[in-house]
Amino acid sequence: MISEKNISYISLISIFLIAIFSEYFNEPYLITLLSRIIIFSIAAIGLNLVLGFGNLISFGHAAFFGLGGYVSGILAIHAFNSELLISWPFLFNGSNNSLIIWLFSIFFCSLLALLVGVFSLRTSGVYFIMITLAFAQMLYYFAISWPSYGGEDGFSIYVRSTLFGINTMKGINFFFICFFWLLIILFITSKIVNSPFGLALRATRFNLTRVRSVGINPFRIQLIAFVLSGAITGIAGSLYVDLNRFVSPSLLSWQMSGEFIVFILIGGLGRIYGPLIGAAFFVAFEQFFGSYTEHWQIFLGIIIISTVLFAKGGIIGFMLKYQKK
Amino acid sequence: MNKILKIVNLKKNFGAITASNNINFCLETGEIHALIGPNGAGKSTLIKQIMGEIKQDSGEIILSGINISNFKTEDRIHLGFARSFQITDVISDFTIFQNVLLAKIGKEKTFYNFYSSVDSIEFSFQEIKSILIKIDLWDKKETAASLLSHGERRQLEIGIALALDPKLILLDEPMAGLSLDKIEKMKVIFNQIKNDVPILLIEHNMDVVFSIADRISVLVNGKIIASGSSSEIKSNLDVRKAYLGTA
Repeated sequence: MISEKNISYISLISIFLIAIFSEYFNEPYLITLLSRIIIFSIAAIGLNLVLGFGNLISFGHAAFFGLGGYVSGILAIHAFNSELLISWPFLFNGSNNSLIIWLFSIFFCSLLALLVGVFSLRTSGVYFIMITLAFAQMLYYFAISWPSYGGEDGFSIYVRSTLFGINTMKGINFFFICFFWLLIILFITSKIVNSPFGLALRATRFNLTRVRSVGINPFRIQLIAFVLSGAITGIAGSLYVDLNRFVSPSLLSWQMSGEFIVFILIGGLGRIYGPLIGAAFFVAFEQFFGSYTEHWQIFLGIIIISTVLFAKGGIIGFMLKYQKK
Repeated sequence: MNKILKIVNLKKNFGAITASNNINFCLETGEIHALIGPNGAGKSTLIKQIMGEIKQDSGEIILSGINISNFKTEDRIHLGFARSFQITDVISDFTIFQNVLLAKIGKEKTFYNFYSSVDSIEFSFQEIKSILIKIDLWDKKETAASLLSHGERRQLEIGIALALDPKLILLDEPMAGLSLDKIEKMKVIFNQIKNDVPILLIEHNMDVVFSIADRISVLVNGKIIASGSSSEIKSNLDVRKAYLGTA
């Protein structure tokens, strides 16, 4: 029986099993790929919260991904070099403790999302797309022109941050951390989507006047969703930098924002597990076709166009429809 | 009789046009009060001021003794306003149940609840069930609102209004476009509801107005020219002049 639930569980379990087998057969590259899939899907799950459930087409989620990345990178590099990060109101050398790094990422990304949200949620439609993009581009060009942290070239952080003494440099251990985060984020988002807040958020997608007329302030609902969304995507940015041990402005680029949207569209818009399926498909596709030609994105384009034209529910939607026939 | 809604000396100008000219009227418990008037008389402007969607130039709006003249729409709704729209306006991708549930969530202010599943919320099920039975849509609770007939959407609108547990309901042309038997059905629903909640009715269909309104106010050129029972209004000369052009 194919149901959305089953597709979701099967995909989670298979990712986990593939990782275990890869470890057993000593395929570290595959484990890195799986970690990447998970991190991308966390980022896109964050975006899906506003895009899929609130119909807010943010074309600037790379801002949160990149900010999360830069926050972790900066904390880590200062800790690594024992360089002072701030001297007031207390001395702080950065940190390479994952918990602290994540906390900082969540904090700064929520703050940024609050700021971006307050301005951009006053607009809708194309204007919303453009203003979110504009914010992300601002950060992108700022990062490029910021010589202390590598400017256009970015910088390396050499070692991953530590968590409870686990050897995070070992691929499979880091994979487990990412996987654990994925489970947490999936749990949180499915809770949110099915809660009264989630119902209100889904209602804002269709009819703001109606939402207002039952005494709900749609702006606040959307703003909270946007902040949650930014924080989730920020976590993904943190993990991504840790995975690659490298920070660069490309994390903030609009192509990154676009890829998040593509994950969601391919997997299934407004479905909790859609981004996971989409990201897995995307990364696998890139690996497979990328090994034949560097123009693999031509084929991706065909896939995206056919998804939009013939399978609006993405892969999950397509499977469910196929099952019904 | 208890005055639920009281409007005192309400004025609104749009440039040189006077949309509301010193309007006074009230809505009492247990009644259906109809507001009628020719097109352009200022009915919509009045309703929008009552709902707080546009601000009056001067005058007061009082809801059960509270002066709400400067309140925002949402605050008025929390105090007990419910409204159904001129253009039928439900969330079409939601089921009937979800539409009413959304209103309930708005009313109970549980929209900042992120953790409990909507299926498990205690208050909702029984209350929503009783509302859906009142508006005769319980059998269709899982139907998407987009699949409803015109009349059923109207019923749903009333259900949404009731879910807000309002002090009064504003109905903006609820009978427009309904078939005769649907109109009869709606009349029955209204007559049931009015004992719980007084209704301010804007309606063009005079047969409906005269048959179910307990009191009628006639708005012409932004001014209330007459107010009274059906028979009083029917025999009022000013009203006949405004509507028929002759006395």
